[in-house]
Amino acid sequence: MSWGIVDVANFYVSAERLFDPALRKVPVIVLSNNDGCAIARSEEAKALHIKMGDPVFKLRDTIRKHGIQLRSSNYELYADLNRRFNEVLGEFSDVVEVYSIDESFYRAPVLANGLGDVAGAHRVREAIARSVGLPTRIGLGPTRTLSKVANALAKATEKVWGGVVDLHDTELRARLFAKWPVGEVWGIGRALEARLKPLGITTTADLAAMPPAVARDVGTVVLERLVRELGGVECDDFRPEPEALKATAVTRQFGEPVRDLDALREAMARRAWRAAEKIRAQGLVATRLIAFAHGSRYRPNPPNASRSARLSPATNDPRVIVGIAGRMVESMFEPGGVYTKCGILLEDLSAEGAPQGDLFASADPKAPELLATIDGLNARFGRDTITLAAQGRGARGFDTKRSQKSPSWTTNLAEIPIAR
Amino acid sequence: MLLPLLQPVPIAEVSPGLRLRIIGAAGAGFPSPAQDWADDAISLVELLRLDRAASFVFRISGSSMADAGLYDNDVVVVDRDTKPANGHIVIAIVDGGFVVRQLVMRQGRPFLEARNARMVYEPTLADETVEVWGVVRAGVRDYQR
Repeated sequence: MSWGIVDVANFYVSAERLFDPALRKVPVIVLSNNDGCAIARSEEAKALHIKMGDPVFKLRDTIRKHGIQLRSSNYELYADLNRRFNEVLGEFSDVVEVYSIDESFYRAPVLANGLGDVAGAHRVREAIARSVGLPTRIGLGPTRTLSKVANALAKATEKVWGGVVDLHDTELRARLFAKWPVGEVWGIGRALEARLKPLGITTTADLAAMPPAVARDVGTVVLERLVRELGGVECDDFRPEPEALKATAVTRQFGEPVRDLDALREAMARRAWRAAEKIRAQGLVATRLIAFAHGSRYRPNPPNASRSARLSPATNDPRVIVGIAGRMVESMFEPGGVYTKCGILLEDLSAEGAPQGDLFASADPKAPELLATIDGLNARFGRDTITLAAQGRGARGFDTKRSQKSPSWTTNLAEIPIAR
Repeated sequence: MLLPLLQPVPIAEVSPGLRLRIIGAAGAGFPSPAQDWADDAISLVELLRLDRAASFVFRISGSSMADAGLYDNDVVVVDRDTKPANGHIVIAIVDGGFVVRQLVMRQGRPFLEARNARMVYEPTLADETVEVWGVVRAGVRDYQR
């Protein structure tokens, strides 16, 4: 067996273009939360030298001059299209590992000649393009690491090789690795690249030729496994699987600065609610809560405070978490302060139902049933159908700004596309 | 009390497994005489042939397809996986916007034609500048709206 990895080309832009024909063939940038900076670019925008993370205010002139189209992040759409392309992938493989919003690994067969199933990979690409309307590239290899390198090469050589690269062949590997910089390899960050350079390791070929024991000395056991995987030896525990959550954070910049206590309390309540919802979805409870709120560091004397509390018994009950966070806001708030961000951290997470060993604490015995009902209703009728009164209702100035957001074409009946 | 339908579940997400089926009670009492004939409930997913990946939902605006039985405000299920063929009603991109039309072959050339005898619509030659986005599989009309 071997691995394939599929990535969607310029995913957010491709998603926007699927439902907005006016965006095709023109430069498009998708913006981060609060419309701050570029997080996805069409090929036309890349050709105008727009980089990932470029702040919009620096791009104003370029945007006007070239008529670049801007869109806010439409995560509802991206999540739905992600679900859809993984459905298609699941028709081709029994093992699909979602790696990120635009990348998924899948188990693929090896052909009789020992090479990867390139024709099969092209069928995957065609099926995703037909069913979901998204352009993809695929890398194949005997290990996940090699498939990831193959995918990077598939991107770089798309016009020549049609978007699929297979690295099962050791000779091809040797030839391509000699020209592929080590910094482009999955898992090699800047720091590691700098440590490898004095050792004369600058290409992927140099890295693959490293004796594993030396790799462990230079880096860690992770680098050793990476080197083994580059050599085609699959390391079973070298998995991109997300680790079990140890902590979760919900922090957001305000769309508009917040000046009064009530608004700050509402904003904090909304984040606290979301954080509790996140850990409930994973079946976890928290034993520590940290809340913070601060102003812009570009202004003189910004307010800045945080509070921490132990949760006993460990809980994921939003009534408890939102309640404590609200009292924290009251003790943190500085009258006259201009706040631009607040957030909640839930720490020391453990599995729900595990013994907590707190003799004096008692939890509400009816809470699990109530919370399951609330989560069920919100899953069925949409986020925030049921909330706490402390959160307030409806849109507020402090909500994250998504002023250029396209409709939720595929997830909200009121916003489905219209044909004439 | 009816809850406000703020953000309905995506229609393709209603899995075929979402059907309640009760097969006899566990306790005492007579076994249900219908037990041996129990069948799955009728599934709208099957009826509308919804596909979790390739089915999308569009709303029709205007009366370009009235003679084909598609009216203003109808919701249609659009499938991207079906290969467009002669006679299919399709969603296509013409002049930068979505239209609903019938795909018709005339002298070996594909045309997109409206179906409304009361109005004049120019047929569009479905050449390479025209993208057929998907094939309309089913229509849904809410008679209480």
